[in-house]
Amino acid sequence: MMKSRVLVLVMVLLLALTAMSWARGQRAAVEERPTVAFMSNGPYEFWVYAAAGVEQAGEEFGVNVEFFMPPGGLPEEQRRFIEAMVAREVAGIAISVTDPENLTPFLNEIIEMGVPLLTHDSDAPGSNRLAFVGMSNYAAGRTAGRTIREALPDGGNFIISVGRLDAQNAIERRQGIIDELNGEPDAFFYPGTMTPDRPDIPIAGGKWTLIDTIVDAGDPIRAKSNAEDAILRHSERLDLMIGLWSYSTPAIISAAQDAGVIDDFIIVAFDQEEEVLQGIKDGYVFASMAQDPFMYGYRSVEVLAKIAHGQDPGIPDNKFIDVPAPRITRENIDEVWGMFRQQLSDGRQFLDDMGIDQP
Amino acid sequence: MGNMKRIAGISILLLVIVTITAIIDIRFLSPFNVRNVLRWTGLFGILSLGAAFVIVTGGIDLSIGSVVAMIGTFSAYLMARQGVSVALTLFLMLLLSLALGLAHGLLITKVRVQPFVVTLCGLFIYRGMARFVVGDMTQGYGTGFLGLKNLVKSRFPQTFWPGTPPEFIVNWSIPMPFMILLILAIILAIVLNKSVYGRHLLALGANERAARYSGIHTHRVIIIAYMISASFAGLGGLLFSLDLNTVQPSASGQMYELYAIAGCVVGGISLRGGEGNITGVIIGTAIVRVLYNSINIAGIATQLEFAVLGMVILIGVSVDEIVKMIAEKRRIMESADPEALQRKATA
Amino acid sequence: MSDQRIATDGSTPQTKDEESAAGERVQTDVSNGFVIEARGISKVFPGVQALRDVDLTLSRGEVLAVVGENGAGKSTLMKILAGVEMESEGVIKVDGQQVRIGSVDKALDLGIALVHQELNLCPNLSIADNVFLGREKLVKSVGGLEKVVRLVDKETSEAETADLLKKVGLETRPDTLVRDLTIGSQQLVEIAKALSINAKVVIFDEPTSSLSGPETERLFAVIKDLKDHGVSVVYISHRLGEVKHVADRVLVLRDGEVTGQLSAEEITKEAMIHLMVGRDIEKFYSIKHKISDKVRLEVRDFIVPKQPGKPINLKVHAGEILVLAGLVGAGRTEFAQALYGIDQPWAGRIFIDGREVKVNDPIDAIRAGMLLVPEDRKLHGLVTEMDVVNNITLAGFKDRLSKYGIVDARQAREVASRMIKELDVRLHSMDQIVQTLSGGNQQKVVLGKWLSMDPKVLLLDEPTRGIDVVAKEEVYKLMERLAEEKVAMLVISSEMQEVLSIADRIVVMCEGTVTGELLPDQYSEENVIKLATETTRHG
Repeated sequence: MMKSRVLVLVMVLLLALTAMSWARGQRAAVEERPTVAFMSNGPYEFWVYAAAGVEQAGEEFGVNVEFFMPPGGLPEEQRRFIEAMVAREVAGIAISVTDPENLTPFLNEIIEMGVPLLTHDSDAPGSNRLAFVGMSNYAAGRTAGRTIREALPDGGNFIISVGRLDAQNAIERRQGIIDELNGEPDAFFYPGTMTPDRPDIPIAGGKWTLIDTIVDAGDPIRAKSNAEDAILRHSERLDLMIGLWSYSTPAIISAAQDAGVIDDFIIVAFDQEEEVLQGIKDGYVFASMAQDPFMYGYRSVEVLAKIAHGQDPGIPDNKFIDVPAPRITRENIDEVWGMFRQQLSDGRQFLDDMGIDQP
Repeated sequence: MGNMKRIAGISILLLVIVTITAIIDIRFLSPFNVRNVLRWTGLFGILSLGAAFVIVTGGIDLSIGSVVAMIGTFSAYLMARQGVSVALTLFLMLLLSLALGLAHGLLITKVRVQPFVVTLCGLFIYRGMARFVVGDMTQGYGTGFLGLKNLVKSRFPQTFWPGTPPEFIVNWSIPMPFMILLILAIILAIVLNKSVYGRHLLALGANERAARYSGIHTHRVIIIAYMISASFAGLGGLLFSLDLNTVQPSASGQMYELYAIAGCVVGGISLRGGEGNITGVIIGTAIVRVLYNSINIAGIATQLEFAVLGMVILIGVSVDEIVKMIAEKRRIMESADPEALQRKATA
Repeated sequence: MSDQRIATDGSTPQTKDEESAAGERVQTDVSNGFVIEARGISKVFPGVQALRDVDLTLSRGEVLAVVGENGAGKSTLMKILAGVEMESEGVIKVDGQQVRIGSVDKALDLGIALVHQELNLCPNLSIADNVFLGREKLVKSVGGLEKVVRLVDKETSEAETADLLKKVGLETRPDTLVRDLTIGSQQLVEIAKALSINAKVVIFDEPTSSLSGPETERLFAVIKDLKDHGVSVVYISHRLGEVKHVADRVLVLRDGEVTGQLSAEEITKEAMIHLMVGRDIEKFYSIKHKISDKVRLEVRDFIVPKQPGKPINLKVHAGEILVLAGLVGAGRTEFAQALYGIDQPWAGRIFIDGREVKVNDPIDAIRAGMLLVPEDRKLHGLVTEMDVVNNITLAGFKDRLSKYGIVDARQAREVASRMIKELDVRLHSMDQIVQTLSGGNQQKVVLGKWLSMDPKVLLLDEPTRGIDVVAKEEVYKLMERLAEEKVAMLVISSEMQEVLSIADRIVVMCEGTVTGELLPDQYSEENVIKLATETTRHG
C-alpha cells in the first residue's frame, strides 16, 4: 500500500519534471544590440504568428528579442521570467497578462524600477504600464455590424451564437453589432450599457431583427445542436447567423452543412479558424473579423525598441495602441490566408532558430 | 418485472414530453428534427452506456467529459496534423482509453482511492493533457477523412441504398450514431444480462461481500467496468470530433460526465449500485436530449434550460422512488396479518 | 504441487452427480481418517486474540458441533476454514495435505463450503443466480467463441437449482428474486448454495437462527443426507437442544480457546454449558432487585414498520428488565428502532410515565427520557473516530451541554469523567479515540452516553454481543444498578442463557408481533423457541 503510494508520487514528480523541461531552451543573445522581452500568456499556436511579427520588428528596429511562452500559462511563470529579464537588464518588456489582479502590483514594482513595460493582447488596466497593444472588441463588433449591413442592406433577421453572454468580449462584440446597426455615433470603446437578451429585438426601428442570442456555456457540441434547433425553428425568416467566439461559426457551418441548408442563409464569423477561412474561400462564409497576433508582436517590439534607442514611441494619450481587427472577405481571402501561412512559417522558423519548443 | 414497469414509466415520460412539444410546434416531428435528436441521443447514449457499467458497481466516473476531449483532440491531431494513418490512430486511441480505465480501476481497487476522487483527478488531468499537447489549438479534420466521417454522417439505410433512394428513405433514415448506439446496446445487454461477467457485476454492486465470499474476483470485475466506461468515452470523443469536424481541447466535452450520469439516473440505474438496465439508459438519454431540443423548439428562454432539465429529472426520479415505496408497503401489507390491516384501517 | 492435486480433487466432483462424487471421495481419502485436521490455530485481530492454539479435527461423514458463547471465536475459526480469514498461526491439513486456504476460491476448490451466519446473498439476483454465483453454469457453445464469450446457461442452472431447493425444502421457483423471499427462505437458499458445490465439508454457522420449526426439521434431514453420502458437517449453534440432536461430537470454545470435547454419549446440555461458561448454570449471573408497580413505558396497538404483524401491546414497569426474545428477523430490532423514532411505526401510541409521547425522531425519544443502545455498536452507537469525551457527551450537546449553540467544553469533560469513573471504563486518556478501546469498554462508553442523560426507559439491543465474559458481567451489574434506580429496561437478546438469567419477564416476538409472554416459573429454552417459531400468518 505504502509502496504503491510512493510509486504514484514518484511518477507524478517525473511527469512534472518532463513538463518543465519543455520550458528550457533559452539562448544567449548577441549582446551588441539592446534586448527586449516578449511574453505570451501560454504555449499556443496563436503566438507563433506573433513570433513572426516580433522577429520582423526586431530586424527593422535593431533589437534582440527574448521570446517566452509560459508552458503552463501561469502567472508564476510570468513572474519568474520577468525577474530573470530584469536581472539581465533588458531594455523593455511586453507581456500578455495571464492574471491581471494577481500580477498588477508586481508589474507596478517592475515599472517603478524604471523598466519600460507594456501589455498586449490581454491587459492589466489597473497597472502603470506604458501602453496596451490590442484590439477593441467593441470596435470589432462595430465592424461586424457594418458587415451585416453590407450583407443585408434592405434589413433582415439574424441570430447571434456565442458561448456565454456574461463574458466581456461577448458583451462588447454583440453590443458593437447592435449599436452599429442602430446607427449610434461612432465610438471606439464599449459605452457600458448592454441590450438585454430577449427574443426578437428590433434594431433600427425594425429594419433588422435580432431573433435570438443562442448560448452554449462554452460547449461547441451544444453550439451545433442549438444552431440546428434555430434553423428548424426560424427557417422561414432566418437571413443571417453570426458566431462571436472562435468555435461558434464552425459549429454553425457543421449544422448547416449536415442539414443541407448552407446556402439558405448568410454566415458571418469572428477569428480565423481553418473552417472559417475555408468557408470564406468556398463562399458560404460572408466575412470574418479576424485577430492580428502578428501585429501584436510587431507593434509591441516597435514601441519598446524606439524607447531603447531614445526615440519617441508615439504612444497616444489613452495609452491604447489599436491593432484593428482585419476583416477577411472573399476578396482578400487568398491574400490573407497566404499571409497567415507565411507568418506561421516565419514564426516557426524564428522559434526554431531561438531553440524554443513549438506548440 | 420491476424493470419492465420502470421502462414503461420512463417511456410514458418521454412520450409526454414528445407530445407536448409536438403540440406546441409540429416541426418537432419533422424528419430533420427527429434525425437530429436521434443523432445526439446516439452520441450521448454511448457515454451513458459506459457510465452505467461503472454506476452498477456502485462507483462513478467523472472523467468522461475530459476523456471525450482528450481522445477527440488527439485523434484529430494525429490524423489531420501529424498524418498518422487512420488505422494506427484508432488503435492507439483504443489502447489509450483502455489504459485510462485500467488506471482508474487499479487506483480504486488496489490503492483504494475512492472512485469519486480518482475520476475527479482524471477530469482535471486529461483536460490538461489535451490542452497541453496541442497548445490549446482547435484541431480539425478539414475536408478529408470522408470514410471515417461516415461513422457519424451516414444514415441507415439511405447511405447504403443501391441507386437513388426513395423520398421516404431519405427522410426517415436513421443517423449512424444511433445505429452504433443500438449495436453497442445489444452487445452490452447480452453482457449484463446473459454473461457471467454481468452476473458478477450485478452481484458485486448489490452486495460486495457476498460476491467476494462467492469467490468472485471483485477487483477484476470493477477494473473491467472502468475500462468499459473509459473506452466508450473514448469512442464518444472520436465521434463527437468527427461530427463537429473540429474539436476544442479546452471546451469539448465539458460536463458530459454529468449528462451521462443523468441519462443513467433517469433510466433507472441507482447510484447505490446493483441495478442495471440497458434499455432504460437509452430512453433516459433520449429524455435528456429531447428535453434540450424541446426547450429550444418550444421557445422557452434558454436561460431556463438547466432549470427545466433539472426539474424534469428530479420529478421523474422522485415519482419513481415514491411508486417503489408504495409498492413495497403494499407488498408487506399483503403478506402481513389481515387483522392488523383491519385495525390500521379503522385507526 | 500438492495444492494443485487437491484442487483438482475438489473441483472434479462438481461436474458429476453427487453419488459418484461421494464414491470417488471415499477412494481419495488417504489421510489418517481426517478430512480436516487443524492444529494450533491462532488468530490475532488488532487488539484482540480471537483464537489461541485451537485444534480441530473432522472425520469423513462426521457431524461436529462447535459451541461457545458469543465472541468465543467460533465464527472466526469457521471463517479461517472457509478462506474468508487467514490464520495467524497454525497448520491446516485437508485430506492429509498441508494447505494454506486464504481465499474463498481456494476453500471451494478444496471442497469446503460455508453457510454464513449473516446472509450473504445478492437481493437483486434470482435464487438460481445466487446459488451458482461465482461458479456459473456456462452455455456450452457460442459459435466457437465460448472460451471468450462466457454466457450463463439459465436453463441448466435453474433446473439444478430446482433440485437443490427440493432437497432443502424450499418450494419456490428458482427464478424468484432473493429480495422477494422471507429471511427464513433466504437462509435455505444459502444452504442450497453450499450444497451446490458438492463439498466434502459443509460448515453451518448458526443456520437455524432464522428458521421456523418445520424449516429446522428439514435442515436436519439435509444434514443427515449429507452425512449418509460421506460429507462432513461442522455445525455451529446456540441452541444446545439442537446440538444434542444432530451432533456426533461437540467441540467447546471459550474466549478463543478449546475448553473441551464431548463425544456423542457425553453430550448433555449441562456439560456443554459448563464448558462454555466455565461454571454451572445455577451460578450464571442472575439479577435480584425489586420491581415497582409503576408503569414507565406503555406501548399500545403498535405496528412495527418493515415487519408489520398483529398490533403490539406492552408495559414495562419501573425497575423491570423485560427481555424481548425471538429469532433473528423477528422484528425486535425494528420494534426498538420504531419506538426510538428512527423509523415511523404504521400505527400505535407510546406512553412514558402515563403521558403520551409523540416520537417522530430520536430527539423526541431522548427528550422524553427513552434511550436506545443500538445493536451495532460501531455503526450506530459510536462515532469510532472520535474521542471518548465527545462520544459520551454527543447526545447531550444540544440540550444540556451548550449555550447559544456553543459547546461548554469544561462541563462536557466533567460529565465524561464522571461517567468513566462510574462505569469503570478502562482507558489511558479521556481523549483516546474510541476505536482503540476493547469491545467491552466501547459498550460502556455507549452506556455512559445515555446514563449521563438520566434515562427513564432504556432500550438495549443485544447489549453484550461480542464482549468478553468479564465485561458482560459488568454490564449486567450496571443493569441491576439501573433497575434499582427505577429505570425501565427493554432488552433484546438472542443469547439463551442471557435471556433466561437476566429477565424479570420474557416477551417473545415472531414475524413482527408478540407471540407470548413467559414468567420466571415458565422459563425454559423450549418454551422460548416454541413461541419464537409460532407463525401467526394465515396461508
